[in-house]
Amino acid sequence: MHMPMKTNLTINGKNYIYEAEPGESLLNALRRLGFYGVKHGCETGECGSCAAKLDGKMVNTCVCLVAQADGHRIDTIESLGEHPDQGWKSTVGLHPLQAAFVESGAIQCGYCTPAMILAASELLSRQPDPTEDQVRDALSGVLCRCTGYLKPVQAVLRAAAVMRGEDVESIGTSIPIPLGWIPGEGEQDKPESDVLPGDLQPSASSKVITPMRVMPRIQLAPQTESWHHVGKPEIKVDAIKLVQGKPAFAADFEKRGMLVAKVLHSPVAHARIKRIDASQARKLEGVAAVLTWQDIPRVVYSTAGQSDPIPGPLDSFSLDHKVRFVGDRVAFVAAETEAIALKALELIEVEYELIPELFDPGSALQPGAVLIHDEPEYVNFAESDPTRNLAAEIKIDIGDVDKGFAEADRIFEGDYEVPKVQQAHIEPHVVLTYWDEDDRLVIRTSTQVPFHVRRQLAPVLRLPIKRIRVIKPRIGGGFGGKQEVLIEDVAAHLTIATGRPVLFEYTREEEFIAARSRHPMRIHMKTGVKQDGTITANAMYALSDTGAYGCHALTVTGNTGHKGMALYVGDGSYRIAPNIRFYADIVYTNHPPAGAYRGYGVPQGYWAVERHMEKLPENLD
Amino acid sequence: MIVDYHRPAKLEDALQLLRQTHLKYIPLAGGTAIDRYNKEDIGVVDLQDLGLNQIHDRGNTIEIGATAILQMLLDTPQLQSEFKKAILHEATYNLRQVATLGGTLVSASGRSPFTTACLALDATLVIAPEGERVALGEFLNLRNGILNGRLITQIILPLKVDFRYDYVARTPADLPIVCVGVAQWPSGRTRVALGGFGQTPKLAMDGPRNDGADIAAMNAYSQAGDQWASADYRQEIAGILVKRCMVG
Repeated sequence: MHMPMKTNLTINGKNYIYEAEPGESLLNALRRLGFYGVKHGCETGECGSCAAKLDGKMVNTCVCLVAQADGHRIDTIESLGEHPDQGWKSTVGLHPLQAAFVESGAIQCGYCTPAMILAASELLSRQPDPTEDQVRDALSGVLCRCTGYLKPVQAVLRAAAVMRGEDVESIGTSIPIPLGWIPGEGEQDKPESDVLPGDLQPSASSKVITPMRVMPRIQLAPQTESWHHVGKPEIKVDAIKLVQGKPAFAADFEKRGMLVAKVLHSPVAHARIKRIDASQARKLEGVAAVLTWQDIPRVVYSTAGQSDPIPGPLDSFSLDHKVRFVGDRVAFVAAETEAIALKALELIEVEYELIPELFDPGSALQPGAVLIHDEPEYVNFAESDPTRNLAAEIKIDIGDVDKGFAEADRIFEGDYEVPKVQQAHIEPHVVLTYWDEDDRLVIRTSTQVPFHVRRQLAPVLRLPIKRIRVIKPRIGGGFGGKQEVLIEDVAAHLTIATGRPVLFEYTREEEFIAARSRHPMRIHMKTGVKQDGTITANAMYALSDTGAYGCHALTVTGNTGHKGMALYVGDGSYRIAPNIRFYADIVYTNHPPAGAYRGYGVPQGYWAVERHMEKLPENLD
Repeated sequence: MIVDYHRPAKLEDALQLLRQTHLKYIPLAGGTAIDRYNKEDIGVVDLQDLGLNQIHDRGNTIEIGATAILQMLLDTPQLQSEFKKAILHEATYNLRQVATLGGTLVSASGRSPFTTACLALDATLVIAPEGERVALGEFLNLRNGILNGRLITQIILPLKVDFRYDYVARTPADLPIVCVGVAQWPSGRTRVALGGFGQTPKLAMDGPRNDGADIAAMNAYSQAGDQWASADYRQEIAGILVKRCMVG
């Protein structure tokens, strides 16, 4: 370990003496000092959720060393505003920017919101009357994965007007019916900007393209005047805490004696662990626990966050003696600091017995293909068959598809591919576990499926469900990636092993190598048509690569055909009795597992169907 | 992993640290690329107190200190507007507040718009301690070798040169798949630099006239295929972008 350096930090006007490692980031220091408004996002300066002001300028603190900030003035979101109602104590209330973000609905997950507000405050401090271009440039360093920038831009322009002393549209006022706009006479087809009330029209001189609207266009029937909520704007229930950067997310919470967890990931795609020796890691000072497959119960389960009974195979273990992709789990470590935990990972000796790899989903079903899942504990669901690398199979015929093809004048076939895509939520997967005063295991986790976490982990941890409490705080984006019981068991096992609180947070690299993705698919389309273009039969075959584990294998790919193949069903008698086929094989490979991702299998199917239909008439006479 | 940090106040002290052999020391400019050094133990020499961020207008040229941040260039009226377009394309607002000229050139990949623009403008680097002047084109191919124990202190750019920049990317804010910088001197001298591919931007042409600039660009990218785009695509686009820059 290296000698810590003593640094002098001036944060929000207050001086701190902070002992830093030479390579420690300012982000880490600020969070350790309790400034949770700076968020961990990317570690590479790309996303800006960690931004703070350094001598008044916006800086991404994940790529700024504490030592670099020594002697400089640092301002975080905590320097702006406060809750407007603090009982008997009078307060300055929210900063106009914070108020505008609340009123304009400029907050979705809220993870990037503190950085956006800080960036806007920096802009308004040097340019009180900014153009929209200037606002967009000022916000360009902060990546919003949820909503885009329309509402934040509106909020900044609104706040700027307030700070200049100008009147702005009241948040509580519904937009009146524009003059000259009569429903049913065709005007509603005009673009929205054409039918804005006069006072909301963007002014040409200000170069504002985004109108400063707060409310959508709503027309109220007279009797709704007496209603309390319908037809009236409501602020997001947790907007006020999010604009202040309060500790709302899973990692923004500390427990005394908290350990930091790290996972040793497999460097090979397919192997048996011939030997694993964690003795040197366990001897390292500051290491509280090292767990391998030999140390915890061997319980087969599914990591897919889905209702009971899980509509998929049980094919996962918290830790196994076999690894199935580069990034698969080999060991868990809990230590006093992240640096110690990382050092401990280096000290774990692993001897792998390599197994041939399977990367081509097209070869997965071939006789003689290497088997990804040969463990006896594997539990099938429906047609899954690990002896064929088949995680799930779908065969659906509606009508008489073969007859439909026989009746066609022309048959068109085409192949379409969809690649692997990562969800890239700005907040990584993060979980904190601890025993509470009733000896319940508390799992505070960034998840989309808190109840599934509790139910699915109970047998894995050998705890009754009632002794697990899952807390789902705000999450900084999920997009399906957190519809997975992905890392909760890591921290939970380590808390059980040590009796201490454990925090486990994925790095951005881990999000790519050891989280989930959209299912890559190869889709074959076959469509029979009459000469006039009438579809007589339509068939889709999807070969879906679920990777090393079958999480969401069946249900995601089910949507690919269920939704996509309902779009085009022919005309006339073929509409009354369409002929549709949807077959799919969802196969195991040694790729990182796929899972849920916004749209849940539908985009893959829509892409193939729409592109195929687009090409089809081009080839008709 | 960074295991040692120094913030010298004098250039001589910085150079002495960079010449240490017991540990690899690298200059720390803005720090925006510091995450690349997470595998090996290194020491860093923070340049922020060396006062190397001055900008001097010398008439036909402008001398810019190596630790001047990209945002300072945007606020420098003498620089060409299309050059500023490349700076805006290089980094977001937050990164422009800390990313320095020197650091950007040292850490640039072939996809760097700013480095492509500087290459087209035939930028010259001044390297301490000797004050040696090295053309950017020469430097880019030999970066680590040239800088071993030395430090860029200044970048010199020509001012009386017409400069154009254009690019194609997946989104307006994404790094380019192909970008083009075209610099034309009053004498007719024309330099075309291409970015968007490889380890460094590439000089496609440096000639007394602009004849055949688009063909030169296409030839320069005849093998420029990778996971982002095929060589055929890049060739075609490079030629089109050069034509646009010539017309524009």
